[in-house]
Amino acid sequence: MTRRGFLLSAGTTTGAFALGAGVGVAANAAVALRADTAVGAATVNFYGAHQAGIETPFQAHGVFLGFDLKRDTTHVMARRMMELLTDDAARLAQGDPALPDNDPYLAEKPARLTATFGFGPGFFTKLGLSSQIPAGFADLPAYRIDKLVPEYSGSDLVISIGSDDPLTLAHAVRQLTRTARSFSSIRWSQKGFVRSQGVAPATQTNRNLFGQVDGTINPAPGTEAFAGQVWAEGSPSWFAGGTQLVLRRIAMNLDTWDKLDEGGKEISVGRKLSNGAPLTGVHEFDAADMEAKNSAGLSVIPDFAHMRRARTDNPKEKFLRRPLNYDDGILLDGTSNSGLLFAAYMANIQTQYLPVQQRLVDLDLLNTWTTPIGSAVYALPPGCLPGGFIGEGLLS
Amino acid sequence: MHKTLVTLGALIAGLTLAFGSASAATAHSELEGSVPAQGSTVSTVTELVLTFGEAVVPDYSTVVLANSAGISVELGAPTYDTTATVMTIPITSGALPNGDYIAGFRIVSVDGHPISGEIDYTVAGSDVPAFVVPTPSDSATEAATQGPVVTDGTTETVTLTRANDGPNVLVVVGTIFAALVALGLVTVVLLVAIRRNRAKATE
Amino acid sequence: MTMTIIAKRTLAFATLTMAALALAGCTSAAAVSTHTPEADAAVVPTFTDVWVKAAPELMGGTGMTALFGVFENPSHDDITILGGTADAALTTTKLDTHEVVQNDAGEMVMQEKKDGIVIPAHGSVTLKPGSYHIMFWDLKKPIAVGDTITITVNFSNGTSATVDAVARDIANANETYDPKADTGATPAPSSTMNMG
Ligand code: HEM
Ligand SMILES: [Cu+2]
Ligand SMILES: [Cu+2]
Repeated sequence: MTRRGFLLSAGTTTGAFALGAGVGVAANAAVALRADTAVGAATVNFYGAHQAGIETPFQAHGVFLGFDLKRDTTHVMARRMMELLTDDAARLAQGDPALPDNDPYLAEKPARLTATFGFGPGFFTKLGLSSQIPAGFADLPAYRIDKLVPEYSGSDLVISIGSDDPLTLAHAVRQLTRTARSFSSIRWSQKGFVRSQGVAPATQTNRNLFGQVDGTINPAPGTEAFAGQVWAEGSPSWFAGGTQLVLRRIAMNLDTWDKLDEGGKEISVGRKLSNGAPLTGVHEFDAADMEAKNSAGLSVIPDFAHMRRARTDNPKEKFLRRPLNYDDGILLDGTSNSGLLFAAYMANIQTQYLPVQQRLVDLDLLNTWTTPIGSAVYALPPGCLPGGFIGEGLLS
Repeated sequence: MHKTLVTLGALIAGLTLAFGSASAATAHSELEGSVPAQGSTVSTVTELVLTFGEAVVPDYSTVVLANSAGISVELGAPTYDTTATVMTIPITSGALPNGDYIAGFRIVSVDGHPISGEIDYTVAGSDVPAFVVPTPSDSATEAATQGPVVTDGTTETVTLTRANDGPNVLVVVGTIFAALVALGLVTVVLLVAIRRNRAKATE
Repeated sequence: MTMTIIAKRTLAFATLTMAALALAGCTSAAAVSTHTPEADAAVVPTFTDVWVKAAPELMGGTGMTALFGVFENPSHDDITILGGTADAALTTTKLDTHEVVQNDAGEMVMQEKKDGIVIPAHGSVTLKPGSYHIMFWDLKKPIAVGDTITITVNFSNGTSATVDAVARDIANANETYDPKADTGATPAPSSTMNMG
């Protein structure tokens, strides 16, 4: 039993006692190590209409785990797996150990831990559930810019875990992996990060490893625009409230990028490095003027600029970008091994994502320094309530 | 003939660059020369030829041309020599009338380095009739004819037509000028090494 | 933290707060002293987070495993877990209560806890790897991760409870059985949770 478990049971056995007395016990039992900070103690509610970890503001650290179902995995086993994973995730999100958990003290500081689950195309086909595949959900076509490697591509199941604390995160990864691997085998794990909590105001847009302000144009959590872009509705019914994830591992060549001067870097996207303002504006969220020309008659935001190519006025082609940086250390020749775990969430990959991705394949100066090396898609079920489990609509 | 000459010009340009401007080897793809050249006054311009110190990525190239009134001139798709360092951009309507012009270019060299700049030149002694800006009522009927489709700098799109022009005349004129321009190109390219820094690079 | 400490704490806590107890009132009586053992006779301990170590493969046609969880005693008197029975299809051998102790050779081994596992009055006990557990012998079929098995647990106050346990994968809880480890053996130290 963990300290927390002890507190819970003490509370139960002493139900008639004044609450204050229970708190006294907590103080006794915990003393120094249990002391929490606001960052460490913060939790994100696991249960709800949607899975946590999507509309959740960025946690500092994240891991994507790709698993393939074992060949003989049945519908019933898949259901059990999701029941157990749900149970683990719900406990860990509260700062409680998994059941069982050999390192329960590592669960103590959840730091906004979330675990989010998604099903790859193989999940549906292996389990005979092809008829339940959501509209628009399929692997991306092969693109000429891709240099995909299997180590980072595809999988039947994804677990995306986020926390503001890397130690808590590592523990959660272990616990969830232990549960998942009874039914599946790990295919890859990909780790990423943004800034640490408290380093910048929570509202400040992240930077990627090119130094760019990345994430300016994004639907704001809790808005109708967010819901419209991200959450699926209608059919198949199990998927209502779910979302589709495109996960691309995109290598960023920091060494060739560094050969550019600031101006060259800025026009490749069309935004300033200093604050992310469009080249035609002053502040980050100023509307970009796509028509503006310089004295030579050239578009201030070039035709090849990433933002010109990616942007759209069509609300049906917008989506949530929630990318993490990855930095897998310096290679032996001294060059970078870094990039983006580009994670985009939308109700329908085909209609919302593919047109944008195709434009970027056709023309985007950023392609000079970026190379997609991994690619995967997942259908993320809606959330669940206590007693339920993630994917229940599909697997019950 | 036009094509052959241009290609020949480009070949010579390539050779010139290879042997004549070794000092440019370390530079990024800066503009080494152009026809018309920066600050020059010429009588006949049917295309722009830009020569860079390093191969450019065709996908990323943009060239625009406008006169001093801010009237932009429609350009055709650029073509490249085999080394991708010499870029030729036809003027859709053929030779330019007299006036001051600003050509803006933005290219990306194969190493990903974006370069942009402008080339100012003057056309004098051209016998091509001046552009006329049609009245809005004209444009409805004339828009369908040839003639540069431009923006006038105030973002309002107007369609320009040339007085008295006919397609046949333009083709003949264009062919003659093409020959002249190609010859001019050979000459100019030979001067590139000494003049390559004349262009005003803005980035 | 071991069960021992929890139990002690809970007891100490209960003592310290007798007054509060009396004031708040318990299940029936206005004062602690008025209740009789008989009054609590029907109290069934409650349980949470019950799980069983999965035994995905049988060895030589049989296997063993153990059940863990938190048992709580809301009554005024200690209640002892005496053991239990499983579905006959799983095992017909009685489920004994076990503990993990250090034997004379210094190894952590498990042995039967013949007098059962005490759930202190108004307290709880946690059965966990490296400590108390309910032992399964002679498994007739494997227990896969995610399976739910149902057992009947018998308590010293004459009650019993039907307990569902979900099968979980865990690397430890592998102590060997040492029937010779004498009953006076040192209980597992509180700091030792995991004995691989
Ligand atoms: C390593 C790869 C990438 C990098 C470094 C990158 C970087 C950026 C940056 C700096 C911005 C401007 C700031 C902002 O609005 O967030 C941006 C915008 C955007 N990017 Fe990317 N991006 C990458 C890949 C992608 C991919 C693969 C897609 C989708 C297929 C994408 C879609 C977008 C969209 C839709 C916008 C907003 C455009 C607008 O409306 O202004 N990006 N990206
Ligand atoms: Cu009582
Ligand atoms: Cu045992």
